[in-house]
Amino acid sequence: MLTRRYGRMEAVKDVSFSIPQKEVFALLGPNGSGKSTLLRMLCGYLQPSAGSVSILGHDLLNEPRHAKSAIGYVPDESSLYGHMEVQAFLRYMAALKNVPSTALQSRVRSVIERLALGEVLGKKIGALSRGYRQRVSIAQAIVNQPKIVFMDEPTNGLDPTQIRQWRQLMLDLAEDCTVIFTSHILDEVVAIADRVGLLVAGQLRAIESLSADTSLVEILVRNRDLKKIRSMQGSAINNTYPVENDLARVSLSLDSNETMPSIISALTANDVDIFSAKPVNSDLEAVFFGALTEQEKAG
Amino acid sequence: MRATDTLFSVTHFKALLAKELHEIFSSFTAYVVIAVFLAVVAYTFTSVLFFQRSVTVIHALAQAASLMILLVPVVTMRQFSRERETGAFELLLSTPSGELEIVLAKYFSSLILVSVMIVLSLSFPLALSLLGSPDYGAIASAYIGLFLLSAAYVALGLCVAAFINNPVVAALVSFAIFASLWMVELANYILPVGMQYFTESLSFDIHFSRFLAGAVFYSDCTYFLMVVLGSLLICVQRVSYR
Repeated sequence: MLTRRYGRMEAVKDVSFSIPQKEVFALLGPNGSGKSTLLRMLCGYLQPSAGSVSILGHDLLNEPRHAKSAIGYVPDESSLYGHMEVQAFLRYMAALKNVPSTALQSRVRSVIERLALGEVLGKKIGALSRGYRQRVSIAQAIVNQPKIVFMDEPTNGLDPTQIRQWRQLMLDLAEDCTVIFTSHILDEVVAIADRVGLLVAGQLRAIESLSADTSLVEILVRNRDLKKIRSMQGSAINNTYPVENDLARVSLSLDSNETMPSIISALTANDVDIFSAKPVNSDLEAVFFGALTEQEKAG
Repeated sequence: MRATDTLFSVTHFKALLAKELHEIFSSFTAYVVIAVFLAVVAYTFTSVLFFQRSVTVIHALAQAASLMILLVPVVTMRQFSRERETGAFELLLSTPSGELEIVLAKYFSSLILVSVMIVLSLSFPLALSLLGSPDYGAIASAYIGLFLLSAAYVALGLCVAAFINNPVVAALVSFAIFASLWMVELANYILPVGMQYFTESLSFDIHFSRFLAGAVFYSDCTYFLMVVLGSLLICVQRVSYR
């Protein structure tokens, strides 16, 4: 049972789970739920106040070198050495990650090709665009061919095209290794994770397998259109949750005779601007929004 | 049989040291520190030589030791703060490299910079040897003392930087500690009589002055080395505490 305390506050409380190899596992939770703290303990940066982490049979506290040799960590994109050049940084990280000197050059070249970093090799990381910095971050994480890759909020600040590229990369990575990432965005988790752990107020509330359940449709609309949706005959709003820029995320339950296109047609006929729409997992959605409400009530 | 972790990885240390050295010697601060050090020591050396007509470097080396109180904090103050500010420390500590290698790489990179300053100051006794025949034994003893004193300052400065994230505050605290240790024996004026031995044992000035006088005592060398060891151990503990 993994616990991390900061003074009297328990940022992560009695969390326990195991992840099989080559699984994409998401840690989902609202901001401040302890996702990053948990991830930092899993990759060996933070020490747990209680409990232990075992990576491929190696205890992270007692055998940190062996355990850390098997992992790659993609921190927040700003957590890189901004003053270092891309190639020098990748060589440096490879050396620290026990890549043999004989294989170092080829490994670095391989990640440069895989992440399409050829154009920016001689540039300083701090001068790169956000998308390139994210690629450099992923490149350093996989340069030692890890068995597990941890990613902390990997799509933060990426544009839609970059997010699509990232998802594809994630699926490619999952063919070779286990991927564990944190997110507070339900769509992102549903799109790529095999399983998801829901973290609320530092506690793991549920671990769900993501199946193709399409009993809900999630749409992104303007706040001002919520009234129109509510007034529509037969609409079944499951949940609403405000997001930035005066937008709201709304999930609608589908009847047995309804489909996603029919719902969208009905909404557009009523002058509702729809920014995005997609089917979602009803169980996970219910648990996630329930957790958000719970955390908001707790303050 | 269960694999056990090694205590120290030379490969990691070499990679870390190379990166630290590259950072330290590609910064403008390093060259300013070297220039200030050499300028002040040269001024003292030439003043003694031409105005006092004394063929010695001892005064210049005594000046160099005092200068280290001001300059070493400038060298060590950013050793941890920059990586902590950017979050790169998180990335570094998720790699298999251990805290001991990280601290030692930072220590030796700073010490190498300080050693470069000391080595460049060898030009003064070299100039003296062209003018006459100075006491090489005393000069060697003074340089050994200056190196050990600087090594102790660097370790203490690094230790302070590990505790304090703000580089300016870290430099000021380091300066206060160095100055206190340099002249701690002045407290004898206000302390009870029995405390003299204690303050004199702590005083960097008293330990260093014996080297300047041409005497290399085992106890003085051990004292500075103990300061280095103790500071680095505390520093490693601080970095390990997360």
